[in-house]
Amino acid sequence: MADSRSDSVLPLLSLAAILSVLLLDYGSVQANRIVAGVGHSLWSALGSGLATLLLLSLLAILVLNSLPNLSLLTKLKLARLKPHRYSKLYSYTLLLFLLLQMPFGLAWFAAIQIPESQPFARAAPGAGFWLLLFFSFLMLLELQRSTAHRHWLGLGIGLSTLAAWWLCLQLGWLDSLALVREYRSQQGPFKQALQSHLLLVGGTLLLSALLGGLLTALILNFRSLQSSVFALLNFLQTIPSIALFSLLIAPLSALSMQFPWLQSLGIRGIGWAPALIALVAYSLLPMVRNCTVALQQVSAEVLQSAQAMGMNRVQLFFQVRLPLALPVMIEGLRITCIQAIGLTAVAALIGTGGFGNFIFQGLGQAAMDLILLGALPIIALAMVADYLFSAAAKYWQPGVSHD
Amino acid sequence: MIELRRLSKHFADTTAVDAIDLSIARGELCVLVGTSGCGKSTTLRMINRLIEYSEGTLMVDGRPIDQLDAVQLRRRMGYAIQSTGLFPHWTVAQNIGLVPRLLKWPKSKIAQRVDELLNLLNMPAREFADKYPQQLSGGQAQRVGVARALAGDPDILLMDEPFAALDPITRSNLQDELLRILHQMGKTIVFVTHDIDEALKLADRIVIMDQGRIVQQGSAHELLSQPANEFVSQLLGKADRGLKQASLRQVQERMQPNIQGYQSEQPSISAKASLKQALSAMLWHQQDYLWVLDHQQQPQGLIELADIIPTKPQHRRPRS
Repeated sequence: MADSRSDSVLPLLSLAAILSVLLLDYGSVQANRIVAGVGHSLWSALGSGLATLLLLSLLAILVLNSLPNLSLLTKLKLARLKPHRYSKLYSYTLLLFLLLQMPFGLAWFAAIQIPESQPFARAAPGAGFWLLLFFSFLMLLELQRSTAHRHWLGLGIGLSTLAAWWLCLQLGWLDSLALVREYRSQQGPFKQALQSHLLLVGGTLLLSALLGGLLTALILNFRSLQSSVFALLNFLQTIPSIALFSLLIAPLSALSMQFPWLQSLGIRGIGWAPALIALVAYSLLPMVRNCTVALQQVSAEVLQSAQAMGMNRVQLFFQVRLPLALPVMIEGLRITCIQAIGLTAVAALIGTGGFGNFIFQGLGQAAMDLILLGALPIIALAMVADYLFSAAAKYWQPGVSHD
Repeated sequence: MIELRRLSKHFADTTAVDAIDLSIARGELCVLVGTSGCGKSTTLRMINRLIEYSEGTLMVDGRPIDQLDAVQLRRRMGYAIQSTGLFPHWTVAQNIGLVPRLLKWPKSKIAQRVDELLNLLNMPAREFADKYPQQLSGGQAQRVGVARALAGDPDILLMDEPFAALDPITRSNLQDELLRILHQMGKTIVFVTHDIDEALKLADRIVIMDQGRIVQQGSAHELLSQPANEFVSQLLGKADRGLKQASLRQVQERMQPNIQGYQSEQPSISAKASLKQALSAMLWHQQDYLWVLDHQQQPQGLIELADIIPTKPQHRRPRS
C-alpha cells in the first residue's frame, strides 16, 4: 500500500493544474510574428464546453485520489469514504483524455480565435497550457510509480498522445500555431540542426566511451593515478562551457594554419572540432567516474571465487566483472549523453549548428517561438535519451529475470 | 595427496603462516581450526594459489604446485566460502555449471550434472535451477555454493568457513548433508573453521593453528584426551570437555547386552545416540539407566550411569 504522504501527491498536482489553467492565460493570439500577443483565458480559448470538461476531469482526479486522505471523516463516522478499487484506472483514463485533448484543443482555439481577415496571425499556447501539460505529465509519472505493474499503461498513454499531435499536424489543424509556422519556415535548417545535434552528441558519446574506457583501465591497473586523473577531470568540469569553447579557438586555428591538411578535414578554430574536444572533456568525468566505481564495487568475494573456480583473467573480466558493472556504466553513459545534448546547444555559439542555433537566433530577434523551436527538441531529445538509457540499465540489472 | 613442507607466507611486515608441515591423505577430511588471524585461511588459499606462498614447498599429488598452471590447478579443486561468492547475474544452474563449462564438458553432460547435484543437496532442480542467487535463502545459497564447488568432480575440496553465517539448525543440517555426500564420494577436503564443535563433528583430523603455526594435530579423541597445551584446551572449551568427549562416543559402545526386565514404557535411547545424549536423557528422567533400542525400536540392551562413568575404586568419593 502507498503511504499517506505519497497519497497526497496526485491531489496536489491536480490542484496545481486547476489553479494554473484558471489563473493563467491558456493561449494567446499575435497579429504577426513581432507584436505582443493578446491573452485568452481557458473559457475564451476553448469555449465553455471543452473548458468545463477539462476542469471537471481535473476535479475528478483531485477527488478520486483524495478519498484515502479523508479517512479522518471516516473515523469520526461523518462519512464512509473508501478509495474506489478502480480509482487508479479512472485516473489513467482522465489523464489520457487531458493529454489527448491538448492538440485538438489548440486547433480549436486557433480556429475560433483567429479572424479570417488576418492570414498572418498566429496562435500560441500560454502559460496555462504549458503548466497543464507539465502537471499532467507529472501526474502520469506519479500514477506509474504507485501502480508499478501497469508499466505499459503509461507508455501507451505517452504514445497515443504523440500520435494525437502527429495526426493534428498532418491534418494541418495546427498550421496557424506560431511554433508550427516557425517550423514550416525553417524546415530545411531544422533537419540540418537535428542532424548536426545528433552527430555531435553521438560522436561525443563514442569518443568519450573510448577515452573513458582507456582512462578507467589505466586507473584500475595503476591505483596511484586515480586521484590525479580525477583531479584533472574535476578541474575540466569547473570551466564554464563558453569559456572552454572559446579557449580552444586560438590553438585550433593556429594548428590548422600550420597544417593545411587539417583544414581539409574540417578542423578549424570554430566548428565541430573545438566543440567535440570540449564536449569530450566534459563527458570524461561522469564517464570515468561511473566506470571506475562500477568496476571497483564488484564484490571482492565474487571476484575471488571466480578466480578460485579457475577463470582466467579474460573470462573473469568479460563474464563476471563487466556484466556486474554494466548498469552503473550505462548510468554514466546516460549522464554523459544528457549533458552532451545540453552542451551542444551552447556549442552553436562557435558555429557547430544544432538546435542551439534557433535559440540564439530567437534570442537575437526577440522571437519567442523560434527559441521554443530550438528548446523543445532539446528537451525531447534529453527525455528520450533518459528513457532509453534507463531502460537499458534496468534490462542489464544482474540477477533479475525478464519474463 | 596434499603435502605442505616448511611452508611460510610473509606479508609486508607480518608472518601469516610460519613454516608449517602438514600432509593430508587422499580421502581425508582435514579441518584447520583457530582464532581469527591464525593463518588458517591463508594456508587454505595457498593450496589453490589464490595466495602465493613465500617459502617452503607445497605439493599436490607429488608435484610442486608452482610448476602447475594456476588456472588448471584451480579447476581441479572445488572452493566454497562463507559469503558463497555466487555470481548474482547468473542463475543457480549457470553458477553450478561454471567449472564444467570451463572444463568444456558437453552441454548435455553439464545439465545432467547440475540436476544431479541439486537433487543431491535436496533442492529440486525444477524449482531452483532458474532462480537467481538473491532469490535464495542463506542456507539454499550455501548449498548452491557447495554444489558449485563439487560440480567439476574435483579430487580436492577447499572450504573456508562455508557454514559460519548460517543459523544453528541450518548449519547442523548442512554439516550432516556434507558428511553424507562426502562419504559417498570420497573427496579429499580441507575445511577451515573457527567453530571447534564443527571441527569435532566433521573432522577425520583436526589441525589447531595459532599465530601462523600448527599447535597440535590429531583426531578429535586425541585432542580431547591429550590437549598439547593451555591454548588447545581453552579452544576445546575447558568446562565442556567431558561433554564434548561424551558426544563423540555412541551408546552401543558402552551398553550391556542385557534386556531382562525390559518394559517398553520405560525411558529408552537409540543405540546410535551419543553418550552425551544418554547422559542428558538420564538427567531429564532422573533415572540412572536407559534401555537401548536399535533402529527398529527393538531392545538391544541397557546402559547405566556407571557405564558412562566407569570409575576406578580409588577415584570413588570416600564415604564416611
